[in-house]
Amino acid sequence: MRLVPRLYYLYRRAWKRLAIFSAVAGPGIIVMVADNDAGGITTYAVTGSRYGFNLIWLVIVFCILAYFVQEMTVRLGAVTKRGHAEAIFDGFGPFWGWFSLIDLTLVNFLTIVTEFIGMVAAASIFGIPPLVTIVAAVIFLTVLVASGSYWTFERITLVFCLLNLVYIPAAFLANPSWSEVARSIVSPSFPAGLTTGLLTLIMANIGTTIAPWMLFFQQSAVVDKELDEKDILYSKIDTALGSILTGLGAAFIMIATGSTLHKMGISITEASEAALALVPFAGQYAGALFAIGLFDAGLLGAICISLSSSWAFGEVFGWAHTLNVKVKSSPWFYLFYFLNVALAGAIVLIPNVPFVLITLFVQVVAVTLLPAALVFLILLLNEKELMGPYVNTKLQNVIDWAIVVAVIAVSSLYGISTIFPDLLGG
Amino acid sequence: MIDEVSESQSRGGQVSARSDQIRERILKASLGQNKTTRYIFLSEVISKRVQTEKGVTVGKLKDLVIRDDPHYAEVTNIIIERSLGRPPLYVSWDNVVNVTTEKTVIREPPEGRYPEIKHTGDQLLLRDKILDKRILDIEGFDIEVVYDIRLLLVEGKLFVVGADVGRHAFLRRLGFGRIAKSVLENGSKEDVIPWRYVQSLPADLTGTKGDVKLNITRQGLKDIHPEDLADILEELSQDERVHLFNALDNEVAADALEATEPRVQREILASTTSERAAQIFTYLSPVQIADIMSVLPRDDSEEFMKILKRDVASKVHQLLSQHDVPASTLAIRCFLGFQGDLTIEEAFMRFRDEARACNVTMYIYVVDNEGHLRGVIDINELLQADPAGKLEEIMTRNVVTVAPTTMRADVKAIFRKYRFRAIPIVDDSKKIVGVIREKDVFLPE
Repeated sequence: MRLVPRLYYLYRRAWKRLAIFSAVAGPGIIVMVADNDAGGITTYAVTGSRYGFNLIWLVIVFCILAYFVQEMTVRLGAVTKRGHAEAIFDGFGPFWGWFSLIDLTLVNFLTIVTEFIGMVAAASIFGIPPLVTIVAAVIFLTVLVASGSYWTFERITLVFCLLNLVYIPAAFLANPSWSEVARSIVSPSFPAGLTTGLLTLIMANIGTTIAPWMLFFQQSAVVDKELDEKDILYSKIDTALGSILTGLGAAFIMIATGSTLHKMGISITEASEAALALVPFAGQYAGALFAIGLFDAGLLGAICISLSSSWAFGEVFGWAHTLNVKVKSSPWFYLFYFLNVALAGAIVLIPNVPFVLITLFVQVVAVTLLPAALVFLILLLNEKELMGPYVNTKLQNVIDWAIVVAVIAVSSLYGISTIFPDLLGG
Repeated sequence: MIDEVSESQSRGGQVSARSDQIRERILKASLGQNKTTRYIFLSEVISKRVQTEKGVTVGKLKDLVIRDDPHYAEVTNIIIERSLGRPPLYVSWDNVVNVTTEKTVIREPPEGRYPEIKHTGDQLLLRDKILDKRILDIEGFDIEVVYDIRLLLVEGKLFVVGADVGRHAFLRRLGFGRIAKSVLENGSKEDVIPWRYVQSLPADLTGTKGDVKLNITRQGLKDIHPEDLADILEELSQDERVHLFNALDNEVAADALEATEPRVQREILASTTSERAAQIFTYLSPVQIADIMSVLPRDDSEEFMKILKRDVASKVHQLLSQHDVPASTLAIRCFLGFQGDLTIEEAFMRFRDEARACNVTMYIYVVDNEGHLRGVIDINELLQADPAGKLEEIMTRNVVTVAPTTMRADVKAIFRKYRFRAIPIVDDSKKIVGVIREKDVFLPE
């Protein structure tokens, strides 16, 4: 083949592939970026402020783990055309089905509450009162899904995913020492040994990286988007790209807080504190960017988590569970979504709600759900009759089981340590 | 255009009455007798807006769907891409009023919406599956790109004429259409590969992997010289190569396989089932098989050794393991041995019956009842001889032979000296036991 036709052909083929990819992409990027929700941002900000750049390498590892877990939901969804809740009911019977569904709904609801807390905190930095924030957010979240088209929801949500990249300029404003950042990534280390505090933070990081709702969300989204077996490759790339984006977000949060708060020895416990604390060191823009990012994270988290609940409920109760139907044709599906969002918002407005207790509860319930969901997922992906040529390969099984065992061990430890904080301290 | 039609008729076999009619119309069109006929380039209408007759924009023209008649494919419906993620709209060609380079006009939907269109297996998306794909030019052994697809509008129906691989189309696609028009002549007919020669690899046109098309009919594939096929196989990617190889007859496949370079042999055999390989190997001599085996990974060659017949396998093994081998290992058992009292005419008849299944047909060996070699006749001599004469009258009595134990190195020397294409192997009693071919002795090193 001569050079010019070859170049032309490669150019056209690349374009075509890009076009197909941009049509298929969505669920993976959304689920991964939404994974950096308000709670996630807080975890990363706290990690960065305490340990500087030292734990950035961990984030990269976790993103790879998240990819392998989420990639399974892509295959399962594209092959079976069923959501995760439905798959568990069919594969493991009503007991585990109801167990997963109720657990999921509970954890999700409480997580949505934390998303609203994040949004309120972020908006208050700009002087917006909580009531306004919450009402606006609830209205926006409702309108977003009510268009009667999955495509509209997805494309708008993708824009919010892009907003997650504000942490990159925020980190640059903090003027970090890039050589130090590079060194800490290239030579991974645990600062000052494995202390209890460090272990807790690592667990928190895993907990925010792999969450039950992510499995349910991506599988349902793949089904709602009517992705097919032929789309699996591009969908995997979509997931990989998402995990890179979320890793970038997390890493740059750590860089931003690590190069300022950690250096100055300022300790924080909330992402909104980080936004405020950044202002004296990196300027008001860095703080503002951080706050915008936090708000965006809360919003994204709220959308995806409440959708994962609604999809799961719709699948189990047999309601039309797709964003491609109008509200009128599937009132229960949309009502469930709305109630999730509105009630979670309302709880935040109640004065003196014990948020620490809620967070604690979320962690514990999540710990009971995650192992079950992950094990079910792998078992389903090993069913040859169900998966056909997309059944798990040996290598995938080794990786996936290793991840599951590690995640279960660590998240159980984390759950126990949140209930009994003194246990690990010894 | 006229040339193209007559050429395709002369090359093709049976042509249906329907495509004859179509061709007639096209012929008329090219002579300017039919005013409703004009050419359309796919690239010029695709992505242009689609409107209803009242002027309401529906979307953009995404693709044309054809029914894949190998002679002249007709467009059956169009696909319209719509904004805001709405699913694409399929509209039957009957509802299309006009297609121009500006826009496509369709009828108002009957009863509010267009009837649903079901896709069948023989339908093919022109833009998705053909445009910008590679096409292998069988004559030039080069891969071209389908820059454009030429369509013909005849009395309201749209037909695919062929795939345009010319420079003109290339420039047009890059947005230099005007320059192309002024510099080059308007797309010469050599640039357009007639549709009936556009052959997809694999045969399933709706398959997603068929990135390369061949400009040859499946029948034509048989007539390509194995050496040329080997060149083509080397040009293709692994997937495409396997598809093409699977489309070949066993005999053609054997010859082509033998002629390809070792790397390609390896890749082809790696994805060939052992049943097929066994069939292919029956068309190859032990020497050729050994030659192929020697480039395979150990595991694979052991696997293939199992499927060979025992005697073939032991010879192949011998060839692979020993530096020099005796003539008996290289021998071909299938040759033409005729009695001397046969007339030339009778010999012709038997030749016709037996030669097809035989590997050595350039010589006829004259033998007596017990198989003793009495003489040899070059097929050339046979053709020139008087049909009424006897074989023994024209045969050469002084035959150059080798013994079964003669080593290959010595056989080589004999071939070099006499320049025969095959030499008979005879035992001590002058009985012929086999024939050794020149090409089995001189292997490509």
